[in-house]
Amino acid sequence: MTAPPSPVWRLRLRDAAAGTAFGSMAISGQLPLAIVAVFALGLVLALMQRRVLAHRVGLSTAAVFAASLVLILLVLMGRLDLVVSASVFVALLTVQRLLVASTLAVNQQVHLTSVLMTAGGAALSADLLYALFLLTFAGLATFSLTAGVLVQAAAPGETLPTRPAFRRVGMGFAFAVLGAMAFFVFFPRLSLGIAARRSAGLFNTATSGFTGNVRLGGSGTLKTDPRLVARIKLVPDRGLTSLEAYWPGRALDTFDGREWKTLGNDSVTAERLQLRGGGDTLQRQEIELLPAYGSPTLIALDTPVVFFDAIALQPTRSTRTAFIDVRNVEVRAARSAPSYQYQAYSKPDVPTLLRAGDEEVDLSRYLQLPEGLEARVSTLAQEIATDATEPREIASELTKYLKGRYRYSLELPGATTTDPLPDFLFRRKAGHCEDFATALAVLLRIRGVPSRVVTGFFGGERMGDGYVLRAADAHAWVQAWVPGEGFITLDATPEAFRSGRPQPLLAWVVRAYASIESSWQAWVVDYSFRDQMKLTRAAAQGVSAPTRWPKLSRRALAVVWALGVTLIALGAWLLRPRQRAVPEAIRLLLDIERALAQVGARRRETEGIEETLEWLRRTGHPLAPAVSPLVQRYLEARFGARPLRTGERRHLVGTLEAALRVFLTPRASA
Amino acid sequence: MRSSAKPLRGWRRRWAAFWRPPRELKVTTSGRTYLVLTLVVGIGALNTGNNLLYLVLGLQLATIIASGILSERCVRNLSVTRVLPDGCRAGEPVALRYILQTEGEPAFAVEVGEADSPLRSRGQTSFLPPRTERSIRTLATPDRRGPLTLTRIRVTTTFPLGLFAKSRVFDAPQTLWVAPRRVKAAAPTQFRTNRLQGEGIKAPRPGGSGDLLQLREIAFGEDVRRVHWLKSAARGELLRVERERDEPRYAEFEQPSGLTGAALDTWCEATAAHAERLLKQGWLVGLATPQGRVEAASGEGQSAKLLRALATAGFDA
Repeated sequence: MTAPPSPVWRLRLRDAAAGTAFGSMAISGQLPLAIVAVFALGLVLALMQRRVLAHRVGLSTAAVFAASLVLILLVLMGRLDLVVSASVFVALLTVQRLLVASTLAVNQQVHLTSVLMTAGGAALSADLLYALFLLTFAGLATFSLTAGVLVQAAAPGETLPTRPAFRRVGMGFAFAVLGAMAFFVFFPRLSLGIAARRSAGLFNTATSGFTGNVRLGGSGTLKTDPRLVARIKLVPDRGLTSLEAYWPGRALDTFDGREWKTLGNDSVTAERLQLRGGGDTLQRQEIELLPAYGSPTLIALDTPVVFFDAIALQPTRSTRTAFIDVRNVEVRAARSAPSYQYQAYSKPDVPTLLRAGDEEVDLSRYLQLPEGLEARVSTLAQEIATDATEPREIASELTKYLKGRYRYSLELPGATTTDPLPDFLFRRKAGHCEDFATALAVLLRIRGVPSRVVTGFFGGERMGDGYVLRAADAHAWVQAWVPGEGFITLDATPEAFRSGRPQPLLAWVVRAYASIESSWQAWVVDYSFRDQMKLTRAAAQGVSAPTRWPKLSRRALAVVWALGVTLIALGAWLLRPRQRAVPEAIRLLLDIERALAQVGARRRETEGIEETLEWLRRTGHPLAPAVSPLVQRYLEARFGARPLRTGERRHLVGTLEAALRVFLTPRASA
Repeated sequence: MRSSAKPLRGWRRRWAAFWRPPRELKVTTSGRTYLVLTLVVGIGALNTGNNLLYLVLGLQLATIIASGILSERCVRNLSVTRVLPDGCRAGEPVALRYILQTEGEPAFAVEVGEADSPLRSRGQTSFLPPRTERSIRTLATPDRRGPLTLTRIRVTTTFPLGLFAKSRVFDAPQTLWVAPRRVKAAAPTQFRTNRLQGEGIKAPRPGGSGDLLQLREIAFGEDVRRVHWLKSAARGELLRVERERDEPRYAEFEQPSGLTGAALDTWCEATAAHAERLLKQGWLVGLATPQGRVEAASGEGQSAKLLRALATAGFDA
């Protein structure tokens, strides 16, 4: 079957629709990069109307099926996920179809494989962008299919009525989207949402990177990154707009002059991790580390007490995971995954809590100083707070000194020095949080106070009913050992610069996106039978329990009723059965027939007007000359593509009526 | 000759027609595949509980419904009139015209043709603006002589997506009389030459008058008294004399009694061919059938009358 020649724009619509369908799969980040590259290349060629496989259909089809055999083998060997391999196969089939000559069958195949790709995208990704790709695909495919139907029906050389057709189809598309939403909301969920995948996605690559070390030098680009790395729900919610809290992740104890590291410690694995004794004022947190977080190191409000209920959210499934407590270093998930969900209890507002066994910790590692430390650094440490003897007092004075005399800056020209600490303290006198933390920790150690650098996050921005952390909130600070109290938190970084400083516009965009994504996750991806029940219950309560709805006064109620009645009336008027519009030519015919009926010249109902005219002529009827031009004009207007001009019918009928009057007058006198 | 669907009268009938429109729905090839895909996605959604698959399924189902509504709006306000040709021959294409008229709404991708008829006619247009009418000409080939009953006209649209073909069928009873098939080598048919009837037709005078115009081969049924025997003997074939003022020649064919079915068709075809040949030669040709008589006359109009009479031969016109 050969399709009539399609306009180029119509094929581009088709190809673009296929591209968006593939995009719905590609955003999952699970397709092999080679496939993404092959499809992108094929799509570009198709959009440029280069059907390079037009003369190699058999060969390319064989290649696609050979690739399918390879994919089956990879699945059987356990090297490739079944859904991913199926998606790859459909993508290869689509790109092959895109690059062969366009026929009716090929066009249909491209659309149908594109539908399959969107289904594949649904299976692979739960990203908000999927909705965008799905909607775009549906729109483009709808218009492309419509154009195909019009092309099929059009005569050669006929102009396609794209504008009125697309206007109508656009309305239909809007209706379909609303219908899809209604179906989604009301169709009962008979199974659990077990197959929804949580892919990292193309735009959620890891950012925070608890890589194990903190290396001084370099600029702090992370501090401007607006991406979200964690969502936190506090139970009970404190109701604050900003938490301004420390979220410790990893403690580093060894400094070699350029880099902070941590020495190996004992580790414990447990499903529920009790770090220290609790109390009555524990704060529960439900934490979700997003794919942009990018590390198995877990965070919790300072000071964490218990970690429990961890789930590793992997692309294909979600599994429970245990915690690994690397003593005095970090708590991390036992299973590696792009993101995690877990809960924690913390003791907030109390800077320190002694852990069981902390008294036996070897503190010498927290007093270690880098070899070859410049003497002027030691001199500086001794010169500050010379009178202070207590660790807490020394720590306070040193923190105050650094905070007051050093400037926060992310722009550090020449920061790649071999000895960054003296460079910060004596030359630049400006740096970011890692410089401040390093300086404070080293000065404390020089003064004999055990200390360590802690990396994590500082902040907590309100979003919906919870809080979020951005990549820009990544922070480094110091914990110093105070006998009898344990490690206390110290931060020499000026307060204004502790949390992230992303670009305001970018931050707003990310916030808006995150807010929509949060709703998307809650109302689409995780929508369940329980939500449907809640919705039903809420609707029922809405009728019976006016507390859920704003109480309306009588006047407001009257306005609402009036509005409702007006809307119903408007709808009825818009949907009223329209009077059949009679074309002007038909009106002319009716006028002629009416005139002839007055003189009894209309013989039979079924007789055509031409036959009546012929009869008038044959019988020499006096009205024949007057009727003849009107009949002629009627035939031209109706069948001869010469429509009547404005007012022409009235003029013609006027001449006939005049002739009729002349005809009737003598008869009356006779 | 026209036939059009009768408009509904009364709001009750219109209301009933609105809710029970006489529609036919066929699924196209791509529509079938689309339905299978919808089923597959539905099973996938139910089986896995993946909400995004529910979303895709919802969109697919809603698209089907939207497609149905848009196609219904295309055909709901259409009316159609069939215009038949004056005559046609079996085995030859005949032009049928359909006048499509829209009311308040435009129609897209409309195909029009006969329903429940052996006549395969199919015409289409991509667009009919609101409150307009368009004539669509189609060609169809009737395959046998006689009355061809056209009962209904089917108007179909695949708008908007080409997944389904929705049809509306209009009652438009009409009869197209099909004249005998044109045959090249028809066997000569017996006809009478001994009488003429009708006003203004004078009896022929054998031999004619005036100077000799030409000699030509005598045709079957011509008066043998016109043969020029000397020249015929010299040429070895029968030649007849034609003079400047030749007399009108006439022939009247009469349908033999007892002919039915294929034999009657064959006689009609041969008679039509013979009569047309004679008319071209200037003969006055008439026809007598059990259904009636066509008085002998000449010319194009007589040919049409004879063909019409031959079309009805054996049938109740």
